[in-house]
Amino acid sequence: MKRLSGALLTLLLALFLLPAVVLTLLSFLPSQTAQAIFQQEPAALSGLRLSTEQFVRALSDREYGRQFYNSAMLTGVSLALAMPVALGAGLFLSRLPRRWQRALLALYVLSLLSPFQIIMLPVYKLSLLTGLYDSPWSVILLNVFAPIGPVAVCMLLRTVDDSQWEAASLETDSALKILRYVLLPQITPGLAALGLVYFAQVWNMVEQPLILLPDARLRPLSTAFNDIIKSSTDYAFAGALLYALPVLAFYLIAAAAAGSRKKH
Amino acid sequence: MRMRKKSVCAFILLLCLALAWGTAQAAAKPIVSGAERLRYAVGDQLLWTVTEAGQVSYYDSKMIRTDVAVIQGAARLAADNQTLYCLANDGGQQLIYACTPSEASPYGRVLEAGFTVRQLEAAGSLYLLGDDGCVYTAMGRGIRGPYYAEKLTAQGWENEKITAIAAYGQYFCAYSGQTGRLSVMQRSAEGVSTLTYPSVTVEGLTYIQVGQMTEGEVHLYALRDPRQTAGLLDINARTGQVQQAEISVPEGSMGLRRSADTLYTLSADGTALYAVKLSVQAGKKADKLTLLNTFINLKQPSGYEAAAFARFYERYPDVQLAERLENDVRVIATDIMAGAEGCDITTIQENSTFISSIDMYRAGAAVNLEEIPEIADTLARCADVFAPMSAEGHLIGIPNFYQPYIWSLNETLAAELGVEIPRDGWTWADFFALGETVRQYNASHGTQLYLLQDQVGTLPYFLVQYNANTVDALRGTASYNDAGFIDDLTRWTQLCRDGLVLFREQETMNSRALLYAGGAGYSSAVEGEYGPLLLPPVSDRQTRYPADVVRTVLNANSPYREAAEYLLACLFTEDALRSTAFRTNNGYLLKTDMENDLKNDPSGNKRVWYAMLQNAVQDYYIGDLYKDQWQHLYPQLLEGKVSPQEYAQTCQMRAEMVLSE
Amino acid sequence: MKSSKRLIDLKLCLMGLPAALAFFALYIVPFGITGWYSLLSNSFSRQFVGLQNYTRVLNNPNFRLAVKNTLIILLMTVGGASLLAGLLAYLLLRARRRILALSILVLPLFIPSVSITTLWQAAFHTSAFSSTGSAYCALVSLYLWKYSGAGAALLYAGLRGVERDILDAAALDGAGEVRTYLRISLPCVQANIGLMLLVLLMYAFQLYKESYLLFGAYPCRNMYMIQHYISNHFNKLNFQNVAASAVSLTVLSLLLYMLAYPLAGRERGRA
Repeated sequence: MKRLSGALLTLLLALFLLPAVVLTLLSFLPSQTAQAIFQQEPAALSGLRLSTEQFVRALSDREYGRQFYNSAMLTGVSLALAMPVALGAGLFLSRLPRRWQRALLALYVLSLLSPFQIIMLPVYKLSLLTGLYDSPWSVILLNVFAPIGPVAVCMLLRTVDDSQWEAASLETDSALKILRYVLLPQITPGLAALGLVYFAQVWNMVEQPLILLPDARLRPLSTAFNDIIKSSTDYAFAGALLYALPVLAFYLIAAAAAGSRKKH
Repeated sequence: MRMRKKSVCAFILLLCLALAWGTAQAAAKPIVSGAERLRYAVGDQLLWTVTEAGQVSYYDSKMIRTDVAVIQGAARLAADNQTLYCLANDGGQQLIYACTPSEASPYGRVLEAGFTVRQLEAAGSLYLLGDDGCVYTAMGRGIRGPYYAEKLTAQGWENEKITAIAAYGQYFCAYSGQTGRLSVMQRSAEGVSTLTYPSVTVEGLTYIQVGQMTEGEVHLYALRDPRQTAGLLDINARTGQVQQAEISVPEGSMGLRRSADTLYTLSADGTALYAVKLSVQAGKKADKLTLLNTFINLKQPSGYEAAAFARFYERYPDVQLAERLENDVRVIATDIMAGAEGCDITTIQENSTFISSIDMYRAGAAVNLEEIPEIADTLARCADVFAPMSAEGHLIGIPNFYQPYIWSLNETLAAELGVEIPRDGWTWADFFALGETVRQYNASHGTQLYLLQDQVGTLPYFLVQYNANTVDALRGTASYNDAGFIDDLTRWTQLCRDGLVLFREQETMNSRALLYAGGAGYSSAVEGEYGPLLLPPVSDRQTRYPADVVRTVLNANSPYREAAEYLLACLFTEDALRSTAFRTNNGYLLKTDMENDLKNDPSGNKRVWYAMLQNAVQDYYIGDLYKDQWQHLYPQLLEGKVSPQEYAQTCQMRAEMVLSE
Repeated sequence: MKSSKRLIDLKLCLMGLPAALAFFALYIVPFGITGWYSLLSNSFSRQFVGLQNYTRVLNNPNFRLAVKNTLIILLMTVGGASLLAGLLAYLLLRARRRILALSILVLPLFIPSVSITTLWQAAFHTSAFSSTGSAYCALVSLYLWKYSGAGAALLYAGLRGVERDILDAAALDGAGEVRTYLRISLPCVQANIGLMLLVLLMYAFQLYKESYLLFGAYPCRNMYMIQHYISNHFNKLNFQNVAASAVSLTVLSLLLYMLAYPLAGRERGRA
């Protein structure tokens, strides 16, 4: 059974990895060859050779570097602020009386499921009104107070037995201490997964910076990627790989750290 | 524990590296640098550089470099639009090379001049500053003939020795280092004769460049000496007031060139090129009207456009006219609906923009131009002209570009084939019968003649005409499932597969094609550049002739609506409609002019042209239907992967979906 | 004790209320403005027209088609991804190199859609004229590849916390691995399942981006979703239609939420 499940997992992982492998292979070809292969021109196969041309072009493109930096900053700041906000709001939601909780959760969930275009125009106008237009904070604030965080934390916290909260509240009147010493240890794996989802969401956002950051120098790479693909495929594949790998590295390091912490 | 510490350290190190890299990227650095000295020039969208070794390269908006050619002895550079002009010294001769992005081996043309060129500028014309202190324009003889220099004079500058010039947009600036005299002149196709303001005096300038328009006045940027320590100067061209510019360039910079939003300068040793953004760091903003994706030429206005701007500035001297390019639909739609700045006037070319003018009108976003009194007056005199461009009886945009697709005949080939084609009244059935004639001739004579060279655009004329007539965007109907269309499409497909149609294969007319179809301006069409014109074949008497229409629309939510209305009114006067420039682009049909014009029509081409205009129809944007046809469906049809019935069915389903949405 | 409880409640409010208010300001208020727009003629003349926009939108055949297609696609994508995530989580529990395996599963989240859809376009020959079958294959497979890993990660996070004793007891009673997983492990992590479904649903509603890249603004009839309708009307400057359909979409989402709530709402120790 274990062998079968191992084989099945390996097969599934191979399927998951296949597009990324193809992307990697294409990124190590000269850009014209990659484009020709992609467009299924058989003649391109005769010119196959490994090349770092795409990576060199991507890394020497000032604009690419600047936008990558913008992506990293926007995502880093958003995540750093969003997690505490999500914890606080999630805890608050989870301790509300049932009726209020249902109503508030419903609002959170509905806004979670709604496409951004529904509120794009009012958000744009509000940002103009508040002077946040053309400022990274307009995008950061939208992500910091995004509904996914509080909803997820609330759902995770509700798995914790109420008696634990009651017992802890006898020992201390600090909600922060109860959160830190009683609740957090039980929901940390879920929070890590949430952090991952959150990171991916902010890292890949397109419409918010497109609308709220007219200055292209402030925009993240996710917004510009469409133009990079459309206008030139000089480094489209390598660019995508470079875009994904650092994030994956971050995830691996964080996961390793969490894993080793658990061992001890 | 050790593993945890290591992981944390690795993470922090990674973060620091990322931050350092990012900071390094974000900090001010030369945009181009190397070991060799550089020369550079700036066109609208391209930055050109030439190294000491003569390597000519250009950088696009993403600063991706492409090497183009090698020109030895390059001394002076200038760029205009997508062309680099390079003056090179070759054994005592001065050669001018005109280099484009695709030009691997540019040809150097001798400059016939009795002076050495000190500075080269390009803005509509090529300007030369000679070592004699005079300004010339360079005019070329033929395609490969030499350039000759024609001296320019400006009133009051006859005796001045000019030491620096700059040309950008509609302005030309001249500076005399001896007297400190500085003037800004209005540039025109004929010369630079009109002084915008009286001259001012500013001592010790070495480099000058057209700056920003601030509160209706022209400003210049300037540098003071080769090892300039005074920083970048901002000079009011009218008052001569000199102050430190709000933007700065590195110390010791040489030269000043600019694009729409960036100022460029070279380092003191000439090996590094710096760029400074103009739009964000410029001083306080005056009210401005933004023309979004416009066809109106702000930088090089034609005669009627320049007249319109002059008239506009008389009433609104403090309003700045700005261009904006934006191709993301979501951004444009948000800006328009929110009534934000940056989209007061927008251009719509139906087959390549995000929205049809009808949809824009129905959404309430496009102003009905008849509501503008000055335009209503003009319209009252020539309403019938604009009927094809109206929606629901209302003119919703000024057509800046309105051209039908012409058809012309190769008479030599027609005589050889022994065929006679009427100039009007023929049908697609006649066309396909003609195709059969050509096919048989090829078979019997072993020739490869073509029935039609189709240069209309992305789709062949046959489909362009059918799309425009089949889809009624106003009524929301489409009739692709017509049996006649499917028959014709079948026969058209066969013609293409038999190699009888040359589709977008070459720019110039092919002498082995019996018929030619393509876009053309009024002048070139009626003057016989394409040969005798004939009306295109039609399906039936109701068929109308498609025209490529580009219109300028006023955004109903514009925060500067009053000024925008006036600008459009200035562009839409009867003088403007009658101007040569407007008519060349538009082939405009004005009834009184048409009657006069037709009195002199020896070739009969004018009659054909006006007949097409009078019976014109334009296609509207139908949700990427046309783009999807030429990108996917039409190639599949030609390859046989899709049958004509399936083609018609698919288009019908799509059109219905879009029109009923 | 009562005062201690009140103090804790006050501190909870201090922690959570500002965030909730900010959420209201950034999301609910704009939605309210959108709702107001649904009662206006358009975003230019802004005349009050009552429920006219709703009548027009709800009677529009495209809108109805879009609602139907959206439900079908949601079922296929979210359902398929949930099952796949369940399988992957089960396999992850038995895997040796879990971190590596999880990394591979979540990698698709970080690859930009714009890049990966080019591969899908080549593989499935997608265009605006793709047939229903190939369009569904392309879109659903893309969704499964991109998001089931995230679902598996969420589920796995909860499954790791299931007490060993319960699983051992089940094994002693003779329950097989699969049965234990389905009858014991999964019921213990209902909150995680609820969260997973919510996240997958959220991604499914954002699937328009991938669909647009694969098929354009007007895909085949069976692929035309409510997001296409909204987006196309947004681009046509008909924000009033966007608003009316958004409110209608919200009602649909509310129904879905009410179905999912009982699943997510069941927690231990709370009556």
